[in-house]
This record gives sequence, C-alpha cells and structure tokens, in this order.
Amino acid sequence: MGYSNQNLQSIKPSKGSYFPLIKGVSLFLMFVFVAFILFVIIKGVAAFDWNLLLVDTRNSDQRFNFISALLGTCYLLIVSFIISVPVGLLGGFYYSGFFSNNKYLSYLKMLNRILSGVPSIIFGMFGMVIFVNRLGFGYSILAGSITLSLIAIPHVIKSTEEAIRSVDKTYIESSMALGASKIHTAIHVILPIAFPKILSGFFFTMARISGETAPLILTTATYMVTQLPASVFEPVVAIPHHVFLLARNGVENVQTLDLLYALSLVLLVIAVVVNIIVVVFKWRELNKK
Amino acid sequence: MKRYGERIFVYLSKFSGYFTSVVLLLIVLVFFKEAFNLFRTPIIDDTSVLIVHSSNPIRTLDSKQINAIFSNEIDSWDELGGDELEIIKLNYDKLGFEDSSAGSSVALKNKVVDLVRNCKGVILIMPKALLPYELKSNVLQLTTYDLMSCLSGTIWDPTLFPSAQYGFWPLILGTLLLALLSVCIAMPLSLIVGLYISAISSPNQKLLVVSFIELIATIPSVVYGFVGLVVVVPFLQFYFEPSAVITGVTAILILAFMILPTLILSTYKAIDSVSYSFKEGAYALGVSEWQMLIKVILPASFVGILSGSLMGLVRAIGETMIVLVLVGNAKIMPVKLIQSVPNIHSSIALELNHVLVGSSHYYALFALGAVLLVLSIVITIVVEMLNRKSYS
Repeated sequence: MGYSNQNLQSIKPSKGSYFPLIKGVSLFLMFVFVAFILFVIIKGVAAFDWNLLLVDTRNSDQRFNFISALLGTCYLLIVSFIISVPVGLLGGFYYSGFFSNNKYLSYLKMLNRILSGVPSIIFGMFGMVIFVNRLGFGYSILAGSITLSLIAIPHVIKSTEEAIRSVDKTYIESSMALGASKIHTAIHVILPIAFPKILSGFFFTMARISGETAPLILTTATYMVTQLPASVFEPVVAIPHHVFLLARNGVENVQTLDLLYALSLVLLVIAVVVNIIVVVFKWRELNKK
Repeated sequence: MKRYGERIFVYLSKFSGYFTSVVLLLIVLVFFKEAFNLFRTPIIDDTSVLIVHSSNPIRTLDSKQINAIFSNEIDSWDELGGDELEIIKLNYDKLGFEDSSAGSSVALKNKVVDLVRNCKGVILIMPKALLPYELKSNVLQLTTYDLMSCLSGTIWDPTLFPSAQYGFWPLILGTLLLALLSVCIAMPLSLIVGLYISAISSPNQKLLVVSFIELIATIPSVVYGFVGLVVVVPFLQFYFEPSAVITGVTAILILAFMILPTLILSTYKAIDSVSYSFKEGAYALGVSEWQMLIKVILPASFVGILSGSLMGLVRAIGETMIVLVLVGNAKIMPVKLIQSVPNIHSSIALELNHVLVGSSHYYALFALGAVLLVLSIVITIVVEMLNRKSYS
C-alpha cells in the first residue's frame, strides 16, 4: 500500500489545525528533557576529576568512594548478566513457540508481564528474605546480583521473544526443509539473524538494572562500605546506592555534591552509551530495507 | 547423541520459560506467609507479659487500650469496664530490682509477687522469662493484630510502647496520592507529545525523537531524584515555602517527569496503531483537524492510551527512590502536599534494615509490601485485559 502521511497532509483542511499547539508544547517538553540531560552532563563534567580514576598514593575518600562504587556496579552487572543471559535466551526461545507449542503459553506470558510490573522494592524484600537470610549469602554482591537478575529476566525474555518472532519464517522453514535439526536451526539460523535485536534487548535491560537502587538497599549493603570487595560474598555499595546514601544526608557539602554529580554523570553515560548502540542497530535495520 | 542434545535444550528452555512464573509465585507466597505472621503476633512484644491483680475482672485488653493506659489517657479501671480503681502502671525494668543487692532470684520473685498481691489497681509489664509461678493466673490474655484494624488504622508507629501501632491506611493513601497525581499531570502532556510524534512524517526523524525519549526513559530514577533535590527543591523554597525541604509537591512533579517518557512511548504507539482507513474515511467526509482528533483518533486509541497510563501508574506506584529522596518518612495522615507525605516505600526502605527478623515490625513491613504487590498485580491484570480487548 503506497499510502503515506504526505498524501493525507496535502488534503487536510488548513483551518483550525491543532498542530502548532502540540508542536509548541512538545518542543517545550523536549527542551526540558534536553535541559535535564545537559544539566547532569555539564555539572558532572565540571565536578569530574580524572584523579578520581587514577591510582595515587594519597588515600583520598572521594577517589576511594568513586572507585568502589564503580567497581560495585561492574561486579553486580557482570554477575547478573551471567545469570540472566542463559535463562533469558532459552526462555525467549520457549515463549516464541519455536520448540513446542504449549497451550499454557499465553498464561505464562501474562505471568511474565505481571512479574515485570512488580515494584523493584518487592524484589529487594524477596531477595533479603531468601538470599540474604534463608540461603545465608548475607549482604553481598551475590545476593544483590541474583535479585537484580530476577528483575532483569522477565524483560530479557520478552525482548528475546520479540526478536525471535521478527525472524522471517521462510528462513526457518527452509532450514528445517534441508534437514537441519531444531537446535541447529536455532543456533545457526535464528540466532545470527535476531542477534542485534536480542543484544539490544540485553543492553537495555542491563542499563535498566544498573540504575536500580531499592533492591540494593536491602540486599547488597546496609551502610557505607569502606572496603573494596574481594569476593562475591562481600557487601558492596554500587553507584545508585551511593548516590542515594549521599543525597539522603544532605547536599550542602560541596565535596559531597561534586561526588554526587560525578556519579550521576556515570549513570547517565551508561544509559546514553546503551541507547546509542541500540539506535545504531535500529538505524541500520531501518535503512537496510 | 544429537537427539539427546536437542532434548536437553528443549527441557532447559521449558525450565527457563516457567522460571518467571515460579519466581512470581514464590514472591507471592513469601510475602503472604510473612504478612500473615503479623496476624499471629501478640500486640505487645512477645517476650513480655502484662500482669494485673487477681481480683481485677478485666482479663483481656486490646492494643489501643494498652497504649491509652501507658500514655496516661486512661487512669481508672472503670473506663475499661472494671472496678472504680486507679490504674497503677509499673514497668519491671524501671522498678530498680536489678540494682538492689537484695540477693537471690527467689527473693526478687517474692518481691514481685508481694507487689502485685498488695496493690489492687496494678498493671505490671515484665519479661516472660522472669514471671513467677504464683502469678501465672494473673497474666492478661492479649489479642493479636487483626487485618481490618491494621488496614483502617491511621497511626503507623512501630516504636510506641508497649504496643506498637501498625496502621496501613495513611501509607497506602500517601502512595496512591503521589502516584495518581503524578499520572494526572503526565497524562495530558504525553497525549500531546504522542500526537506530535505520530505526525512526524520522516522515518529517520521519528526514530531520532523516539530514541531520544527512550534514552530519557532509561535514566535511573535516583538521578531524577537527585536532580529534583538540587533543582526543584531550591526553586520551591525560593518561591513558595522557605522551610520546605522534603515535600509531596516535589515528588509529584519529579515522578510525573520520570514517567512522562514511558507514557509518551505508549501513547504514541496507541495513536500510531489507529488504522489509516479510519483517517482516510474521515478526511473523505471532510472533517476538520479538531474533529479528526476528538471523534476519530482519540476514540480509536482510547483503550491503548488508557492501558498505557495504567502502566505509568504501576511504574509510579513502584517507584522507590524518588519518594525516598524527596518525600521522606512521615507518620501522620497526608494533609498538606507541601510537607512530608507518608508512603509505603519510605517505610520499607528506611526501616526494614534495622528491624529484628521475626518481630511484629518486620511482619508489618512485609504486610505493607504485600499491599504494594497486590496493587501492582491487580493494575497489571487490568492492563492485560484492556490489551486483550483492544487486540480482539
């Protein structure tokens, strides 16, 4: 069908258009969004000090706090990535109905969507009961990252399922017709085609959980940790948790404020980088056709 | 060999598919188990007992009566339906028995027994472990917390002595108030921006704008909270109320700002999915732009917009960090939005780390969590049903 917006715009009446109104309001809101991002970037860059990253002999609190928060987020993301990748991938395959068509699949999907709507603090309390207390991990990286991966898995499964569903059926059918097994088709046909979309789904979810704070308050540490973690069984204060603990104690102190701006900048950079990767994937997809 | 590999693969994928459902069930189970423990916990700390004189006709008291007695609101037994006697409140820890070198535990016990027997209007709170055998029959029967009085109670005060009060109502009301007001602010704005995006004709431009809004949606909420703290709070202080630091207004504004991108995306999808044939038919009939908007686009995308705003509501209800940073942890009923508003998130996040596992406070926080869980599940199910309706 060759219809496009331009065809319609040429015949629309010129009187009484609401378009200038919505354009004005939208541009104003966009301006507010841009101002918000620019505020974080400008303040963050001004407060950011490369000495925060360099290892120097003077043991300054600022640098130490920054490094430990950065490492904490890295550890948490790595462990939850390791946990959520296999479950998310296989679950996505199951939900796409490629292996077996289950009549309960629609209910499973509904439960999945309900789980993805559960508030993150609920996951935190659950993680505290099960992983911290019952399984005895204590307040640790492990407890925190399992909790985070529970938050991530529903989203990952959903995006993987959508990616697999978007693969052209003819590829799958021709592969099966050539005598390839299902597992062979899955690995050598579906995965390479759906890979960009699956990957962007993973990235999005990781960016999302890198900013989750409420579960961390209840699972990774209860106070400002003053030690770099040596193993996954040790407590850690990740960046968003750090921002919360500092912001709660007041923002009057200039040094604290600077550290807060620098940490917020890091969180923003994670979000921006992930989004740019995803946009590049989408843009290539859009202009390929 | 290959067949076994495939089988293992299929089973693993099945397991992963069921994984999230199992997690959801586990979460619900854990929360309800812990929450129902609250309704099996006695209203005073379960290591303590309350003792009265054996001639006292009153044998049971509820939580409010106990607190009224110990806060001097009630000073005579006849207000509770007993004899006309003055109430003499005693606390074992403050009697000074520990300091006296009077000697053996037998002597101590006898002192307590004498005290209770000689004083008709006495009410004594003492540790269960030290209870003398002779006074076993004098122990007051205490009720447990009950669901209705917790849900409708208006005081949340876990530190109240001797019976902590867990009234959920102000916290639930505060949470709903913050979420609903922020959705009310964000809804119309998201509709406008959604209309604007769907009117952009170039696909590359559209991708740019949509990606930008997705970027805003991925920024962690703690950054929003922090920026609210350093930008919006001083603004409010300067123009409205100099003493306002943690206020409901800031939280509502920032919450609205935070859920706006999510709402814009869902509104845009709903408006964009309106079939071209509707619009063409309407244009062919010669409608104006406004008529098009009000009579064609909005009715056709109404269900989608509604389910989108309900998802925004779920997000606003589930948002912890903004309310934690900006609203604080008030205990009173929410009356003015320019001051701190009580809410479920602040109570859980600020109190749960410091409570004893298995205490009534711990269970009460899980009961609050269960309320939050039920709220989010119910709204999500409504959204599901709306979506099903719009697709069929």
